[in-house]
Order: sequence, then C-alpha cells, then structure tokens
Amino acid sequence: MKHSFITPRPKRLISGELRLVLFFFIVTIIMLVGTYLFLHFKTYAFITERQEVAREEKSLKNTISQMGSEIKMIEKEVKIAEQITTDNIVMKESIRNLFDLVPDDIILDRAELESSSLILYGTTPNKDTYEYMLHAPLRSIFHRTYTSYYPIENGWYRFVSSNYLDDETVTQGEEIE
Amino acid sequence: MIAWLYQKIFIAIIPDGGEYDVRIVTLKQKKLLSKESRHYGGPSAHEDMLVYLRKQIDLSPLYYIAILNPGLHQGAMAGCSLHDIADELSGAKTLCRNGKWLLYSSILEIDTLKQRYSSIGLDFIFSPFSIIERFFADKIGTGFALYALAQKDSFSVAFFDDGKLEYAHHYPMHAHEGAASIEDGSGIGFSVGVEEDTASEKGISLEDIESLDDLDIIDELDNLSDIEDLDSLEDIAEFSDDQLTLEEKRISLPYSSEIKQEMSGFNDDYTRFEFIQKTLSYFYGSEYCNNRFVETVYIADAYGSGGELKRYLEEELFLNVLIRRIDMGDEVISLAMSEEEEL
Repeated sequence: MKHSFITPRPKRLISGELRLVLFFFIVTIIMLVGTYLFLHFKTYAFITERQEVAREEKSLKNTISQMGSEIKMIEKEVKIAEQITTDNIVMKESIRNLFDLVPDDIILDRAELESSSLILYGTTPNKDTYEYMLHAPLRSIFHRTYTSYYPIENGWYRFVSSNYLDDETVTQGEEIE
Repeated sequence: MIAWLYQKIFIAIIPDGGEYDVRIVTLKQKKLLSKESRHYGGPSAHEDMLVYLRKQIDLSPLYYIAILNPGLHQGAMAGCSLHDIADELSGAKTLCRNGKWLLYSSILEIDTLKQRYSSIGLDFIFSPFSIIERFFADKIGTGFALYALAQKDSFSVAFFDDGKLEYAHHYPMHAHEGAASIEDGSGIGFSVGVEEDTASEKGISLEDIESLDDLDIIDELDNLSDIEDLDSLEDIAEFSDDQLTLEEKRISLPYSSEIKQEMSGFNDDYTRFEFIQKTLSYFYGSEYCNNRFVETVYIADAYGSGGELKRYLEEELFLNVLIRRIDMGDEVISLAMSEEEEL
C-alpha cells in the first residue's frame, strides 16, 4: 500500500447463497454433460455395433449365397446320381432281360448295349433257332433289326445282330416303364 | 475473474469532530453509477452511520471502506530510515513514500479505529498528509513551500521541497469522543512522533501563549529575516484576549447561530494561524531549515472558513497564501481508488 496504513480485506465475491446456487448449477451442468457424454458414447457404440452387424449380415449373405450355390450344385449332383442310379437299374434290368431272351441253344460271345441300340455277337446251331427263339423277341422290342450269319466249321452259324430303337420308340418305351 | 460482474462501491468516512461525513461512490467497470453524500451528527451519529453503511455494503461484495485517520498520534517525517524498525521500537505503523519520507501513525490508534469499525470493517486508512500530497500534487514539486490541510478537528502542516517532505506536524483542533481514549491509551510505547516530543521540549503550548509577544518565533523571525513589521502581530492579540471576553458575552447575550458560527470560525482560524506560526518557529530553529524560508503557504480548506486565516498570514507573517477548497470525501475516494487499482 502506498498511502493506506492497512491492507484491504480480501473480498469474497461469491456469497453463501450464490455459492450454493453455483454448486447446484455446476452439479446440473456436470450431470447434463455426463448424460450427453454417456449418450454420445452409447450412440457411437450403437453405430459401431450396427456397422459390425451390417458387416456380419453382408458376410452371412455371402455365405448363404455360396451355400445356395453349393446346394444347387449338390441337388444337381443328386439328380445326376439318381439319374445314374436309375440308368444303372434300367441297364441292369435291360441286361437281365436280354440274357433272359437268349435261349440256351444260342451262345453269346459279345453284346454291345447302348441307349438305343443293341449289337449281339454269338453262335447259333442253325438259323431257325435264332429266328424263332431270339430274333422274334428282338423284333418285338426294337424297330429295326438286322442280322448277318457266317457259317463256321462245326456247322453252326456265327451271327451279328444289330438292333436299333428309333427316338419315338425310346420315348414310348420310357413312358411304358 | 468475475469481479467485472459486480459494482464497486467506494465509501469514504471523514470523521469531523464527533460528526461524520460519508461519501459513497458506485462504479461499474470504471463507469460512475452514483455518488452520494451524507452527514451524521448528534449523539448517535456513529451508530446511524454504521446502520446506513451496512445497508450500502450489502449491495455488492466488492466494496472498499476508506477512512481519514482521525488519530492524534500521527504525522510524517523526512527520511525512511525508521521505516523498518518503527513497528518494533515505537509501536508506530509507517509508510515510506518514494524512499524519501514516511508517514506514521500509532498502531494502537489504528487498532482502536479498526475495532471501532469492526462491524463493517475498514479497507484503507489514510493519513492527512497523503491528502496534502495528492491535493497539491501540482505544487509540491515546484519548490519549497508550506502546505496545510485544515479540517474542523485537526490541522496538518507539512513543508515540501521539490516533492520531498522536509518537516510535518499534525495538530488536533478539539478533543473529541474517540480521541480522548486513544490519547490516554496511546501514551504507552508510542514515540515515533519525534516532532511532538521536540515541540514539547521547546515549550510551545497553546495554553501558555497569551499574546504573540510571548512567542519565541517572533524573535527568531527577527533574527532570521529582514522582516521589520512583525510588531504588527500585536494587532491580533485581540483574538486571544478578546476571545475570552466574547465567550463570556456569548453566555449572557442571545447570539444567533450565525454569529456563533462566525465566532467559531474566527477562533479556529486564529488557532490555525498559531499552529502555522508555531510550526514555522520550530522549523526555522531546527536543523531542517537549511537557510530556507517559506514564502508561500498553500492551504487546503476542508471546512470553508479560511478567509481570516489568509488575512492573518498575509498581514502578520507576510506570506503569500493560496487557499483551495477541498472536498475531503472526493480526495479520500480518489486515494482509495488509486490504492485499489494497485491491488
């Protein structure tokens, strides 16, 4: 102090009432700020979680798509397998039927069975045996039947029987089955 | 930080012989909002004033209460050598001014004053010599002269030479309610006021002076200067002798209050004249003089009755006298503001 013999008392700018008001005001502000920060954090966490879920959803969709493709592929394979099984069964039945057709007197050397044709190689004691016991059933099955005979030393005949099914016949045959 | 929200209230208390002048200035961000003055007199003046001030200081927590020190044991002296040791040695509070001179006041009186205003508190206690220094700031740096502050209940005299205080003395005019007790208590351990001791040693006492012929100063002035007309000082002996007669007459004659006031003014002016005369006498006879002589007296008149004093000084001591009317409230407020700015 330059002129005063005493120094001024410290001034309490904030009175008791004002201090109380400020305290509650500050507490309110802190609570508001805290709530805001909590909500902000929660919003951020929710957005992050939503992005994560969206990413996971996209990943799952991709997986589902891949699995769909695999299922289709498997279904196709199943169909193919079933078709093969059916074909094998048909083939087996056809072969059994073929062998049932062949009489005991005729000896088959070779048979080439295809989807619409059957070519038989064998020997027959004579032509009549073949004509009545094998050729007749074959003609009832196939549309076109061609037979060639070759005499062999023991008096028997070697034959080659080519039998063909036309497309319509095949369809009709499948429908019959 | 939040001080700008509040009004600043500066309160100046001027004790005036048992009465009080109060000045209240309200500022906000250095802008004057209001200025109010009140005067309290009568037996309950102090209590009434405190009640009023308590209401005022409730308006803002940022208030400063300044008071002009009414203590008897105060003064100023040249040099700051006693500044650091005065507290321990003599029970005086000192303030060093510019490293050249110091203000002092009795610690006991300051404590008593603080105790007296404990219900509202005090922030600044100013010496009358600070008022003189501030009020005559444009004059004290211009040369050697005598400066005085005339209040109703005290008279402060100081010699300044180019802004440096050479000698000073504080005279109480009348004993009043608080001063008597202060005076009684302050006799213990207060001795910084070397001027008072020296003055008593010189044997100058108002009671002992019956006429100006008895004053040693006249002889000293005769020795020290070429002034030959000092004999005319006898002309004013009427103010000492006749004053008693007037007082006696006042008892029997129905004087109006104006006449009483006028007579009181005459008496006070003469008393102040005697104080100046006594101070000059001591100064010229002391080591402070250094062959310097006072030609001009600047008087700050706080009570508005300095006309006779001017005439006495001019006619009896041949001094150039300049009297300025001073508003003590404004000056104390101004000092308080300057102190507050430095906080």
